[in-house]
Amino acid sequence: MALPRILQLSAGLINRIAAGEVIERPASVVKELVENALDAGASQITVEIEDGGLSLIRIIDNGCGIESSDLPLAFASHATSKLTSDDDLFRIATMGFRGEALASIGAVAQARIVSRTATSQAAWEIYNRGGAISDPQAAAGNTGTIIEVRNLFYNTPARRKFLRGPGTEFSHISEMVMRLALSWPAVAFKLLHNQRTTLDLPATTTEDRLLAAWPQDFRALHLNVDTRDAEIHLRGIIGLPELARPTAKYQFLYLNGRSIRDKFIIHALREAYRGLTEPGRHPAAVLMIDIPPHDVDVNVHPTKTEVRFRDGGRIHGLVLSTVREKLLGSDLTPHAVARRDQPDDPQRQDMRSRLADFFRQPPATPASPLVETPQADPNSASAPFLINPSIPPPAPTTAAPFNQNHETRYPSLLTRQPGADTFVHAPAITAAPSSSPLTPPGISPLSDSTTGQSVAEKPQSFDGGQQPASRMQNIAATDANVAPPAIQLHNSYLVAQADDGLVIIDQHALHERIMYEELLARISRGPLESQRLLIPQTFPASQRQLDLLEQIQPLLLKLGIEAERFGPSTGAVQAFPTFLQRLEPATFVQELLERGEQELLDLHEEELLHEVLDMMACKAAIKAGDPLSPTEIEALLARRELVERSSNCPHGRPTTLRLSLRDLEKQFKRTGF
Amino acid sequence: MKVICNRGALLNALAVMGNAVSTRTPKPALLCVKLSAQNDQLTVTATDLELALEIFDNQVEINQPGECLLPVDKFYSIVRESIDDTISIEIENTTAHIKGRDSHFKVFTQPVDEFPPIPEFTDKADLQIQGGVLKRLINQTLFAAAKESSRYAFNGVLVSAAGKKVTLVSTDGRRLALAKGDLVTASDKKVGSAIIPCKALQLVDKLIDNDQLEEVVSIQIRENRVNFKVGNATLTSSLIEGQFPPYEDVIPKDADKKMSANTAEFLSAIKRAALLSTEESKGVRMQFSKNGLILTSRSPEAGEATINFPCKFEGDDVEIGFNPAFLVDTLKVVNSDEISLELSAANRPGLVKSGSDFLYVIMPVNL
Repeated sequence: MALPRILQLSAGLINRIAAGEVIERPASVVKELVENALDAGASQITVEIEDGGLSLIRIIDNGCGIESSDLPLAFASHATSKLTSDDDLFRIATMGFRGEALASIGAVAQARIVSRTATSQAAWEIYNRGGAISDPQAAAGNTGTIIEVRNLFYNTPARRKFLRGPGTEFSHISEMVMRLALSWPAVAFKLLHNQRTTLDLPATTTEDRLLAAWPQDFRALHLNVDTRDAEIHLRGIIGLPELARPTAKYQFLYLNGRSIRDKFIIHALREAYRGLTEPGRHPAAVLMIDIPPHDVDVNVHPTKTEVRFRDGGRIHGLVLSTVREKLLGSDLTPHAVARRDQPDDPQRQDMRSRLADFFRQPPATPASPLVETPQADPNSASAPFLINPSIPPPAPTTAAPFNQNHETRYPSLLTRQPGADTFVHAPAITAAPSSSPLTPPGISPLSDSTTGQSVAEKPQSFDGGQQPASRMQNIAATDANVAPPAIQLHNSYLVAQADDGLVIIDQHALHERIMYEELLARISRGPLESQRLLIPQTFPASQRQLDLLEQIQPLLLKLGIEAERFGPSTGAVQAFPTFLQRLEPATFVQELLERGEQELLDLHEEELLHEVLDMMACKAAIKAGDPLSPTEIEALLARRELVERSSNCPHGRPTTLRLSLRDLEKQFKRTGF
Repeated sequence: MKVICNRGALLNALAVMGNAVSTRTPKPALLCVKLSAQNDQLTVTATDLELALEIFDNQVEINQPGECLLPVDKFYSIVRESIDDTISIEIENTTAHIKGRDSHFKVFTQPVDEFPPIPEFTDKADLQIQGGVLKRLINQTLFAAAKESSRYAFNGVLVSAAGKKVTLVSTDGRRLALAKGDLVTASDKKVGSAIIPCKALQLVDKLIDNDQLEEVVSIQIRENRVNFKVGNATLTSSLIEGQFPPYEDVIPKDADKKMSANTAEFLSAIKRAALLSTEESKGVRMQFSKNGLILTSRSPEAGEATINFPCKFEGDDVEIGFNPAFLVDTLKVVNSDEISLELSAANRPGLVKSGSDFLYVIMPVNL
């Protein structure tokens, strides 16, 4: 057999190979060409697709056009109008610059360019059929450029085989056009598939354009972000935690107007939502970052979706702090009723912002319409949401009162009272002796928040002719023995009145979140207080678990857990946090290590700290099924207002659902009255 | 069955019975007490399957012997609220007629054969102890046992005896209480390590009449059971299986610092120092020196407390943290006016002693 010889590849083959990197699928063609149109200063771009781009991609723009003499060069490799000197490469301000796109497209398809500059009398056209370039010819056409790409990959059958069906390819194109359109609000985009318009985005403001990236029903649930430091400008929209989805479909990142993927920024975003969304969900966000061109290298990969930052930490920090602050400063309570196809009505917006204001109010000056009504007893009317300074929240003892039920199993051991019965009391009913269980006295009658008028003023609608005065007496009478601020249902959920309706609270989730935040605050002041054990508590552990234990030992020490290797297959706990007194130290550490072994733990220090605190909070918190006394409920609700991120438990599940009066009216078909 | 009972005696029996009945059981028979009338004696029995309590009431007049099962909560309430000196109980088929001067209750009974059999207490006693002594031993140890530990041995009190001495030990893994007492007669055989469930000791404590502390309690320890005979009651309970930790190793022997103080004053100082502690910062810091003891507690939410407590202290200065509840628990049950607290280092256990019959090991808190 003859030895193979080494040969220089032909230019055509080189282009075809290079095309593989730039032109992956029809969407890549669209991207390159639309970017060219944007670089040409177009204010209107139309993209026409047929068969998912396999038979035709046509981009029509009204940009500056190409001089007829430049047309043949357009298809030449590494020919570009966007860089003129070496230095330009490090100050890239245009979308494209490598001069590869058209050459690559020409190499794997049949392409045609029709272009006319503003000053030219006629348009000129040129063909490229798989690398064979025709001479420019005069043609009919408006100012701007039309590029047609037909039969993509006709000469690279292997690549063609890997394409998906037209539907899939078109959805990639559609997403690509959307990505490009988001950062160019002043440019009108239109996308057609098989002659049907699928996307029509007129030129508009930045915010409106960004919102176009999300489904209609997301749009009311967004927050705007806009911050800048000396050099970096971050703006965009972020969705409330409830909009997080299992895929990153509604996440868009832009750097200097270019859509990018960046693990760094995604990580910052995820950290900002930590504890607000369930794990594995991706928050909805459109973020645009502008930084000086010399601080970033976009020339990492031909498709330019990956970038390198000179100072990645700074960008990470800015994204994290901006998004987190925005979330913490907002009311994130999800709605109990799924709201679909509701127009963005200003009344709702108004309600939301009023609600947000309400929560931001200092407790001493409640601005709720409720307190202006005649029956406004500050204790009863504002009970659910205002921290009443006259009733100090009990010390964050959860073990003692909440444990009550637990200990009634040994009633006489601890409390030698013959009356200390073993029956579980039901606070919801016993606490409200003078009213029906459905309307405990602490919850003032529903008020019509749009008019600020209390129902108490029109008694006939609720209690059939009862005089307001007697109702007031009623409330006053029951107030004396601390009216419950909320009712407990099934020993698991609390229902309380809110400004614009009612809220349903998962008692475990809320308490868990409160404990978590308090622990987090406590940790920042020094290690948790820990009780040494009389006899080290040993537990069996695998080699891997023991290695892990040694690795996380310093962190555990901070958390008041002193645990160590105790033998070849044994670990031992020497000290354990005092506030977790009810837990078995060995069981806790064992569970932690098991989770670590299954790689459920993130071993970065901060993440691990959160995980362990979360476990602690979860175990120390009251459980679903624990009965609570009215004072306990009150303390819990009062603390809800003191704690950041109280809308979600540390796992990201919501603690609170809101059912607004509007939702109720809708459900009861009262709308329209 | 037809009996006439003295209400007071029956009420006393039923009051204790309530604690022996299971609180949550799907089996109605286990929510009942069993009444058996024969030989001029009414036997009231209750069980939760772990332990069984029988009280023999002979202030009765038996007209017709027989047995029945009555729901304890209803029966107890009827007897408690009764305004009569005597109550008559008559069983007719499945209904109990409970009659007083002006009252007639018809209570539906449960089938007697659904009640589990109760082991008999016949053999000779292993240990004999005065009621008052046993009461003290129980009070000085029961509080330190764990409530619901997964290490079952911690949920009980270890009883061992040798010669004329009986020792009770309890721990929850953080502190340990040990109390010794005299037996009435030296036990013939050495009682090794029986772990008695807290609930059984709690009931025994209730059964010992405060007016008859001299009365002797007989204890019998068999393979997996313990029996107590207290006055007119017998209580039998299963023992906790499991290994009690080697408690002797835990009692510190290297303590070289010693504080002595008046029990009540020390208790008051600790209680006051703990007033501002919270769930997350519950420890009290104790600084011992020649000049006495300074107790402080601090919590970021609540504030700070400082108590200057003059006391006798021998040894080098030391600073140590304790959970005040653990100290309060023990100071409440010591029965001497003076106690001592021995220490060695901040991360080593403290040892509370009162006389030669009680000691208490307490692990410090890292503040």
